[in-house]
Amino acid sequence: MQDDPIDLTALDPDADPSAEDRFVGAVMARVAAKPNPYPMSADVLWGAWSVARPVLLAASIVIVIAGVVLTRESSAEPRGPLTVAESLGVPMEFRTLGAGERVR
Amino acid sequence: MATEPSDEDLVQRTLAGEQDAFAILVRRYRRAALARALAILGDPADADDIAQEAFVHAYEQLATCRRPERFASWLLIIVHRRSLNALRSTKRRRLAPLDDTIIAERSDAPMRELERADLRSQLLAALARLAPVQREIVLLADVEHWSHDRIAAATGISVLMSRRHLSDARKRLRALLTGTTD
Repeated sequence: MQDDPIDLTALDPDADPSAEDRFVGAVMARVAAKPNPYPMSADVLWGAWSVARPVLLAASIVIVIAGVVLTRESSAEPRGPLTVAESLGVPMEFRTLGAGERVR
Repeated sequence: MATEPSDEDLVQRTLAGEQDAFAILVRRYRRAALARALAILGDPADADDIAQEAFVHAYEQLATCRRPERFASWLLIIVHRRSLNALRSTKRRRLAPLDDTIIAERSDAPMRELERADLRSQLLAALARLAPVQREIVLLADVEHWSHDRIAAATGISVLMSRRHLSDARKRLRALLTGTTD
């Protein structure tokens, strides 16, 4: 039939089985001989950092906000008695006396 | 089962400094590049040189490939331009038949080799009589076994035109090879 494929196997570049490796080797040797325009990053985690950066930024903001909120809440809580006298309800004027002074 | 890395992935890896990723692209598109160069230059040895040059140029300019997923089309444009430049610079207007000296050097080669060389020279001479676009399409279809969709995407023509060119090219080649035309 007129539209059947034509046998062009004589033009097959892989008639020589080593042609592919030879071609790829030649190209890569020429590539390697030139200064590398795409040097590999020295940081082995280069890719990971670029992905993790926004996550780390968001996490640090959350931590800062949580810290502020916790600090405010703790300062707003009622303070408990600081001394035994205070907890027993000893009036303030008796609590201000120094250790060496006695109430006569 | 491991899947083949996409062209886009391989381009990104090359740009990140992984030269081995580019070697995979070279292996993947070597035959297509050779077919396009051969369609324009007509000489397999010249086509090999130009295809290699095109790959090296593609590597150097890879950062300018705006659509890495269409690396093949981008590469084939480079091959096309370089082939035309080579054609102009050497003033090659026709496909040269295989050099007689090459045949002579192979006189001690097996008969099959000689027959193959003879057939190759006949095919190249017949291909030289086709329009470049027909040459390219018949090479991509009948040597590389590409589908019309793939040929259309790589060459920038419609699927319909790809079918038409292929049909015309095959008819013309048959006529040339069987001696039923001038």
